[in-house]
Amino acid sequence: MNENNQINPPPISDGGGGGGEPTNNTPPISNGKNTPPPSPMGGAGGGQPANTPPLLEIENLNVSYFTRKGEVPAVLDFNLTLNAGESVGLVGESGCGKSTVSFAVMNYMGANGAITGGRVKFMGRDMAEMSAEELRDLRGSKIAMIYQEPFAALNPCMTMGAQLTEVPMFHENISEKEAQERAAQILSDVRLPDPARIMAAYPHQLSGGQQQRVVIAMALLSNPKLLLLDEPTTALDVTVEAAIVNIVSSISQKYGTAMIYVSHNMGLILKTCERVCVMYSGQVVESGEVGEIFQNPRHPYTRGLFGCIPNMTADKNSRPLSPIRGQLPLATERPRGCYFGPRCDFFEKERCGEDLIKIENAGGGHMARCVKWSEIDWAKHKPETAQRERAVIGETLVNVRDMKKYYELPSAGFFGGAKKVKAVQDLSFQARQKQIVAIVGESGCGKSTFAKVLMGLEDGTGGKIVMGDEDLAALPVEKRDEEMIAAVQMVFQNPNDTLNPSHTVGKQIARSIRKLGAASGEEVERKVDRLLDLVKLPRSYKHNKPSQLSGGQKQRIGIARAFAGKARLVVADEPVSALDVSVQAAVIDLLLDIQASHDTTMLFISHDLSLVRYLADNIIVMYLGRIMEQGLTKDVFAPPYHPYTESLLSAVPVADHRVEKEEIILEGELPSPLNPPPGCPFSSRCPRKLGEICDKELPPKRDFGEGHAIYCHINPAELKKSPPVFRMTKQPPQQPPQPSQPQQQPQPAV
Amino acid sequence: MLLMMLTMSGIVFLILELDPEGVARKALGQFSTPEQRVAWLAENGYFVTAPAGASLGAKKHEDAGRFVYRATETKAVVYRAPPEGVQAPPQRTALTRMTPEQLEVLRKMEPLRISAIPRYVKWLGKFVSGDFGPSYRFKVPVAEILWPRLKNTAILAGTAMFFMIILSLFLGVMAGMREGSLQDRVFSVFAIITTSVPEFASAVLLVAVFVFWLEWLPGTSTMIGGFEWKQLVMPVTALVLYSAGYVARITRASMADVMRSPFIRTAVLKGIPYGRVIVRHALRNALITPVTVILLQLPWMLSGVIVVESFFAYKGFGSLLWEATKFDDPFLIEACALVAVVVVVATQLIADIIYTFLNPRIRFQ
Amino acid sequence: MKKSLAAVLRIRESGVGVAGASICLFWAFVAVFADVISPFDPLQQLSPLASPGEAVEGGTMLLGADFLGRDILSRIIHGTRTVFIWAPIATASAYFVGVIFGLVGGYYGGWLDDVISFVANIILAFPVLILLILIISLLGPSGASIVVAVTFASSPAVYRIVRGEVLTIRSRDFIAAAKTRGESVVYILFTEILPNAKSPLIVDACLRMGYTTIFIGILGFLGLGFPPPTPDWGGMINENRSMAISFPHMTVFPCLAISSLVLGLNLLADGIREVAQKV
Ligand SMILES: Nc1ncnc2c1ncn2[C@@H]1O[C@H](COP(=O)(O)OP(=O)(O)OP(=O)(O)O)[C@@H](O)[C@H]1O
Ligand code: SF4
Ligand code: SF4
Ligand SMILES: [Mg+2]
Repeated sequence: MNENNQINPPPISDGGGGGGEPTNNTPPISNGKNTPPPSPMGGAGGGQPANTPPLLEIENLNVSYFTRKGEVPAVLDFNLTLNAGESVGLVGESGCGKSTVSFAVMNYMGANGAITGGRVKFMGRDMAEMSAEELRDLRGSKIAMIYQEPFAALNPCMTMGAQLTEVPMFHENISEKEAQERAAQILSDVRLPDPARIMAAYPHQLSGGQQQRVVIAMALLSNPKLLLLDEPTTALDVTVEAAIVNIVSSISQKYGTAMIYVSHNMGLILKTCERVCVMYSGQVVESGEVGEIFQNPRHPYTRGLFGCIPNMTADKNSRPLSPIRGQLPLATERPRGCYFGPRCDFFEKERCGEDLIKIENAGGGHMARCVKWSEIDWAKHKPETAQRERAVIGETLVNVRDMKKYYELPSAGFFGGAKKVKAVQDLSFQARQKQIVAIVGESGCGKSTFAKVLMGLEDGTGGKIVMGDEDLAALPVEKRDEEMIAAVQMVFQNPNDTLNPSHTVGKQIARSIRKLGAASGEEVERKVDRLLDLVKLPRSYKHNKPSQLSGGQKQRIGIARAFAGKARLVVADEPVSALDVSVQAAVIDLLLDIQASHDTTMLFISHDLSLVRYLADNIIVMYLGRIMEQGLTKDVFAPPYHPYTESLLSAVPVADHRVEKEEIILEGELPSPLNPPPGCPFSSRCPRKLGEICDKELPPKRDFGEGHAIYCHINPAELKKSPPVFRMTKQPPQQPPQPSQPQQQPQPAV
Repeated sequence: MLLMMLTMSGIVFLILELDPEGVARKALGQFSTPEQRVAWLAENGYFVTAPAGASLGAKKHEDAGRFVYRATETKAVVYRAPPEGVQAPPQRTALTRMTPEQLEVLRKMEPLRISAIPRYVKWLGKFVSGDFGPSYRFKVPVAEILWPRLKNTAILAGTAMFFMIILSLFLGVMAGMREGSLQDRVFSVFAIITTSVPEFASAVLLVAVFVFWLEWLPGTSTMIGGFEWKQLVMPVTALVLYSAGYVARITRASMADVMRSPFIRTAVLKGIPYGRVIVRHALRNALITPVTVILLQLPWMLSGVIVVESFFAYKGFGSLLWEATKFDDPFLIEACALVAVVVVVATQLIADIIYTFLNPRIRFQ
Repeated sequence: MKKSLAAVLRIRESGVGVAGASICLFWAFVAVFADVISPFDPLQQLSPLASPGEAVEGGTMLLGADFLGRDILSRIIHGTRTVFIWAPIATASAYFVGVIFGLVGGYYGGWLDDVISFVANIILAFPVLILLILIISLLGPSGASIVVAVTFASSPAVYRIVRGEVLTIRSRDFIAAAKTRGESVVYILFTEILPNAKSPLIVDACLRMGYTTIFIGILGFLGLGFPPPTPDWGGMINENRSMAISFPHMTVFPCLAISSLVLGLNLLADGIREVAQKV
């Protein structure tokens, strides 16, 4: 690092003037993704003459991992050229090799990985030929990386300050003091309040969003030319994700940093990148300009993916999902010919099932790895999707009134007095027969706690959950009779946890059938078969242990188990959040079919707004244990909004280039449930906060008819004025005017 | 910690002192008569005692008809009268001067014992004040023999600890640094072999090699002619080999775990030099577990010390305990056990402190 | 049945495991056929102080004789039986106690768990050997008191492992699923939780068997083991130890026997762990 004089990164805060007033919030930086990349300004940006090589060239890259079972090819024939300041997205489902590519760019393959073919050239130099010392020099200074799990990526035994300062100290030989100044500067650039406190903190003392900002700061310290982002926001809540994405794109714009953005989320890629590579099972199946790919996808897999993503503007009755059948092949069990063959509707044995498929140019920079890319007539192709009738909603089945659940935390000191976490407060709603009621909210809002009380796994602290003539809140599961137990069942979140790994699938289903009183004796075996049919799994699977099943298949078994008896109410706690999109759609479809055919009421708990929008009849939006807004789905997703719902909606990345939306970036972090704001729970982050009244008083319920209620101090007329968050446009979206937002937000309590 | 110390001493008490008759038998030998034992117990405060000539005794006997007092020269023992209401013997008869009939009556009576809890309090109080009682085998007060022996053991165990720590941490870190490499395999094989050879076996094998075959070292470590480092070599080696293997395995696992962790990857990809990655990022995290394990290894080493000292006839705490057990020397055993309790509790305390110090997650909740 | 056999045979996938299993099987074979393969009667006094390879009436003393003239090899062979009878019994007993307490403590938590854990920690922190010595000196030396002593000293460690496993397993969704279909606590503990704690417990059982073997050896070595003239490896070292310097063969071979068995068990444990991690 001794070329010229490295210039310190100038402050990013464009409004605040050098971060002089750290307490003043800078206005949200507009996401200028649609404006052309700024011409690199002088200094560190690297204004290259036209004849210099591109920043990064990846040619025919092959990467394999070597395990006991033999070689596992993780990435095959990967090509990419990236110029300074460009941003390219890598999308694909888990295991398709996205992370492997990004680590290969760092030339870091771990203990058992190796590049088995091809080249990675950085600024024209083959990285394989660099010495260890040269590589070290490059890493962290020219190429930097941001990781999926910020907590794991930070050293638990070192302060943030020490971890930050060592980067410039080793790359630029500057003094510790100077490094500290620079670190503090960059911390305020990523909008972390009080850099001094952050520098002195250990990772476990920060929230997930703060940790990720530190990791970003660490990557930016030496002003890299290339930034690799490996699912930087997957572990975070949507509102935090939106803030982070905003920071990343504004920074890359400012300095002309090139980015490789790895994600499984199409919406995020659309928001952040100019070009995209869609990966499937180790190969790029389609690549090109983002707009082109979204408008005119050529590869059946890409098409399929779009069909699997619930859309913010449609629901299950108007536009059902069209899942891709089957599942991802294991890296060791790829089929001959086209890897997507077994799942593709256009598969032809002779053309697709023999030789490896080559990637072809489909016009412009648009590449597709499909022999039939030019032949398929997408207009005619109608994937099989069950058209659903709108269900006739029946009588009230469950009536929840003022439900409360407090947890007592053992106090740390001797005389500290036990602390109370108010996980759920004053939750009231009704669920009718055949209805799907969804509870949405970010982590820690009390969704799962409510499910536990409902299932009788925890005792409620107050309030009632009336079903029939029983109060479920006062009836722990041990005290419920068989009929009640069978009537209220649950589908769990984590596919790897939902089944007992020690017993075969058949045994577990049979046990449920017996315990729920659905059948006995000989009859059980037949019922097991019927349930497997119901969830569309081969009957032979009953002899398998859960470890032999894929995630989606395990979830299906979980669903079969819940419907083994006569379930009248099924609680589904994030049943698909751990699954890949293509599998997710199929499982959701199945769940909806069974729910409809069994006339079951479903309580669907999720953090995914688009999913909820797709399937729910009624929605309850929660924040920090309290209801913010509730009502029919169509009402919740249209003005008037609760300010929190509005922010949530605007934070959701939408995988549809035609949708244009408001940008509302929330400042600050989710308050700790131990110490929630006394008035409106959302007051510490609310962009529309009125003032003192929000801090002090619980907001009143504003009724908008048809059960649509908003809990907010803003008066109803004012609420009705806000424009819809989503708008459909046909023409390429233009920079939406920034809504005027109050500037005097409070310093978030962290 | 205090609670722990109390409970541990309670366990020692339960095992050794719950049955006073047993203690008396050990003190006086297998062939002592019941009377001798009773007298011994009275003398050592196991029964409710009253000073000789106390009028209290006679009165009680007359009043309630339930108690009988028997006095030696200095003490009186309280007996509970037998249920059938046997004729009570004369009061305040000296033990030696009792008639056979009187003895017969006495024998049927049940000594009125002090219940276990007050006895435990008294017993503990004695130890805390440094009064360990007499040693019957060495014919001196226990304290007189215990302290020099402890000092010797401190030398032995301290030396062993020193080498064990250096060896095990070094091997463990080197092996864990590059998991699956040649050095890892070699060190791991070495570690698993040494953990499989208990101290007494390695002592025997060391003697066979270095004393019998090579004739390099003395076969015992009695230190009769004064302290000699040479005599310390083999006991220390035997101790170090066994525990170093164990700690090295733990260090290796911990180090390998850390090296696989994402934050090491972060450090490497930050482009800081490899040496600094190891020293600054890996070691600190990797040593948290082994350091606490090492301290908790001390009690284990005490076990080893018993074996090794008795094998090499080293005059330390371990061989003392062993001899005390062999010769059923009750107060000596108790003293040794309680010393062990103190050592254990102290190391636990230190381990806790060091753990808190090393692990910021505990330090800054 | 076939499946469990297949599971056992998976140890072949690990080189270390194969080595360990072979050593253990070798000693098990010796224990079973001790009467057939031992050249002499282990108690018969033939030629005192005979050195290895010395011929006496009725054969050659391959490993020599002890101070009473008993054949060392025969005594080692018969000593295998002592170990193979008492070490598994003592270990199993420790497991029984540790598993029960661990399941109950881990599942219910609260004060019950606090109390059990406290006691377990105390016993664990106490020097094992001193504990064993104290217990044996209380009960007198015999096989049964070895079982009691080992149970007392080892079950807290088992408890800790079981408890840790239960704590992680009980928070998993399939336990919640079992509860929501109305299963009893006993069913949950033994059918839902225990089978999932299997592999760390098996690994630990091998290691613990090694420890128990060492304990029995040490007790024998200190003269607190089986009363003579029982052929017992530790006891043999003790009997001949005054002559260890001049006649090492009397003590070296029993030492090698113990060490190799423990090594076998340790390697087996490593192998099982390796195989279990692969899945
Ligand atoms: N260290 C490893 N050893 C063996 N196989 C590996 C290793 N790391 C990854 N793989 C395999 O390589 C393939 C690609 O993995 P990679 O992590 O790059 O996928 P990904 O697209 O990043 O997935 P995700 O979305 O889950 O992060 C997968 O089949 C994976 O199982
Ligand atoms: S190559 Fe054939 S199987 Fe593969 S995606 Fe194209 S049409 Fe489908
Ligand atoms: S009550 Fe106040 S703080 Fe809460 S959402 Fe409404 S405006 Fe925002
Ligand atoms: Mg990945």
